Parts: sequence; structure tokens; C-alpha cells
Amino acid sequence: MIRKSVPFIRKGWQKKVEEIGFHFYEIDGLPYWDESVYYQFSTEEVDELEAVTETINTMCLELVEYVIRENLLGSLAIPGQFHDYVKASWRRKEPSLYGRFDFWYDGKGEPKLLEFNADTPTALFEASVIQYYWLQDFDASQDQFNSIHEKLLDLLQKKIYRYISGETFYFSSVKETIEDYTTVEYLRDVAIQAGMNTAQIFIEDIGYDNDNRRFVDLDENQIRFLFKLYPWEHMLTDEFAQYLPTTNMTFFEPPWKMILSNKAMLALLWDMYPNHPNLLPTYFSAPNTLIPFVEKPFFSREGEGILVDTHFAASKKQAIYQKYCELPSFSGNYPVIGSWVIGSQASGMGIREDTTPITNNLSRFVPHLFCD
Amino acid sequence: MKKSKAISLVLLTSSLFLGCEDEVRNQYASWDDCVKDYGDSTKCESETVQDSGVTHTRYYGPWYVMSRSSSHTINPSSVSGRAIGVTRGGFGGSGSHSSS
Repeated sequence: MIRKSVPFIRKGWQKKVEEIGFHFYEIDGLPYWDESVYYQFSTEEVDELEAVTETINTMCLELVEYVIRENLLGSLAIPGQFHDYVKASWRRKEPSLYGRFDFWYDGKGEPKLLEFNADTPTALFEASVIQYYWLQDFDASQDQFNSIHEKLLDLLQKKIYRYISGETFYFSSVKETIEDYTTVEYLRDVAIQAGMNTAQIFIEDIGYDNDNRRFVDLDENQIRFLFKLYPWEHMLTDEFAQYLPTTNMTFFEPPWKMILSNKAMLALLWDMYPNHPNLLPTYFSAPNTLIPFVEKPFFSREGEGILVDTHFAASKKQAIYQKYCELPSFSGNYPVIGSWVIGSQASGMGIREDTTPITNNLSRFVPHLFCD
Repeated sequence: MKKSKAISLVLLTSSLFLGCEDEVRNQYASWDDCVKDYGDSTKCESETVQDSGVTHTRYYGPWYVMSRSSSHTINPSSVSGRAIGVTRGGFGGSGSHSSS
């Protein structure tokens, strides 16, 4: 794994990426897409990341089964009135489209799972499309760990198409968030290519028809299948939460993903697979040793609420404590590997890097390639 | 190879990020889907495009004005009886920073 500067930057790259629908290459005036550098991996490194992703994903599915069977949903702060709803979703085998594992990795040691963005992962479009076209321009003869687009299309064509069975597939995100909107519209794009009828609706515009007891779009058509880039923990506290246990609307990601998008799963995984080489020691209470740990709230995104320390005054009720493993430094830049799973297949990766060891929503996306 | 053999997009390259009152049209997987949505074949049209040697046919409904900033889309498709007692805004109240 090497961080390299490019010998040239594509002339007019901003126009090129805009033409394929990417408009947030700068965020708050700072570069988000950064093609002045790239990461080069070896084939062995990519094979390892791919294999570990599949292994961890399998372990996660076993964890869901365990949590449901042992009735541990309460320990994940999922309110009791939704337990049956989550369990039913798992028992019905409601399909998942995607997820992104964030790994610590330096090319020398084993990849270590930092967290699993199982419910509302973004940076999908950048990983799948933008870095793909970058490589086509930079050096099309090189390879990239990125068959995200193909795997998505395959999943939607072969599995989800039948599952939806001719109904309209709605895609939703919150208003005025260009990153989320792009992610969702990319997924809808692939769904159209898979032959589905699709529609876009903002999450705030979804209606509830009190007479017929169903969720509806702006034209009052029933919504049967909804992809929502909106966290389950928010769904459960919103006004419409009361209708969830009785609705026949099917969600992507499904309710059982609440178990995996919760940071508590990191402690449960460590408990289930102690000393696994791809996991970091993680507990529900602060160990207070001389070794630094990271306090992560059950529900946090983009580095929110993260605290690194060797001593915590008291364990928080809804937080886990993960052994701190500082991200590797490449000339003062700290990359995180975002490894994508589509359905249940490892499908590609995207790299976010920052000048601090904590990745946040302004961290840059940097492309990659691999070669022998 | 571990990279996609080819990537084509049908939606993002054409209709994303419109101004406040831009015209848009719905895209369908088939001609029949479009006709079914509008109940009128004269409102649908098809377009054949070549992409990397592969021919794709796209199906569109009529143009209409879409306002992303308003709470209502003037979408002529799927016009059906208006239900009484629809409430909105029951999702999305827990903040806009929601993805990861």
C-alpha cells in the first residue's frame, strides 16, 4: 500500500465529473474529491481486503441471528415496541442492498474493523463511478478493486426485481443534502437499468393515508417498496414511527440492519469472536487501562461524538469502548478503507483520508488502483 | 480484473441537479410501463441511443415542471383519486445530517 502523487491531473476534471453527475467535489470550499494523489495496492493486499470483508460480513449475519435468538435488542437501545418488527424483518429474510465496512489498514498488518456503516452509507457513487472513470483516464490498463456497479446491477436484476414484482421502487433521502441525494439517485439509476419502475421522493414528503392506513407518495399512490437513506434510529423517533409495526411497506435497508448499524455490534462481535484478528477489543464499559480506547456512542456518524482517552470517568450508557488503533500515517495523511459489500458480496473499496486520525464528513476521497 | 467492465448511467447524467423550476420527465423501463402510468400512449415517447456499441432504448413520459424546493411536485403521472386525511412530514424530523 503506497500513497503516490499523480504525474498529471486531468485537464478540466471538474467538468468531466460534473458530466457524470458529481457536483460535490468540494465541500464548504474544501476539496472533497482529491485526484492529485492515489493509493496503490498489490494484488495480495486487495485479495486480503476482499476476503476479510466477506468474512466479517458473514460474522455480522451470524451476529444478527444471535441477537434475535437471544432477544438482545434491548441492549442495543432499540425500543421494545419495535422488537417484533425487527425480528419479523429478519425472519422474512428481507434483502439488503449494501453496506460499507470501515477498516484500519496499512498494507502490513491485518485489516481491523473500525465500524460497519450498515444502514445509511454514502460515498457509494464516488467509489463506484467517479474513481472508475478517473482510472480509465489515468491508466485504463490498471485494475481497481471496484465492481460495485456490476454487482449492484446484478443484485437488482436477479434478486430485487423479482422481490419487488412489478411495483414501483421509491428512492428517498432528506431534502437539501446533495451527497445523500446523489447516492440515492445513483442507486435509482442502477435500478432503472435493472428494468424497474422507480420514483424519487424526499423523506419529508412521504405521506400517511389515515383512511387506508398506508404510506403514500405526493400523488397519494401507495408506497410498497422504499429505499431510504435515513437512519433507522431516526425513523423510530419520528412521528410516523407509530405506523411502522403494522405497515406493509418494505424498506431498504431492512429493519434488521438496525442491529448492525449500531456501534454496540462492535462489542457484541468481540464477545462472539474474541481475539479475532480482524476485530479490535471492544467493550460496553470503559476498561480504564493505560491503553487508549475510543468511546463511540451507539448512534454516531461521520466521527461524531468520538472520544479517545486512557481514562473515562464513567461508562456512558449508550456507548462502546474500542481499543484505539491510530490510523496509519502516509506523509501525515490518515486513510480509512471503506470496503463495500453489495448483497453479501465484497465488491470494492473507496478511501477517505484526513490530516487528523479521526475521519469526518469533510475527509477527502482519494482514488486507488492495484497492480502486481 | 476486479473493476467493472463498463459503467453507463441513464439518470444521473441527464436529470440531476435542476434549477428551481426546471422541466423534467419520468423515465420508464418499458413502453408499456409509461402508457400504464399515463393511460395515454400519445404522452409517451421512446429514444434509442448507442453507448459503447450497445443499443439502449429509453422510454419517457411528458415533460413537466418540477420544483425541488416546494413540497409539491406537479407531476401529471399516476393521477388517481385523492385520499382524504393524508398527513406528511412524519419522517425526516430528526435532522438532516443522517448518512455515513
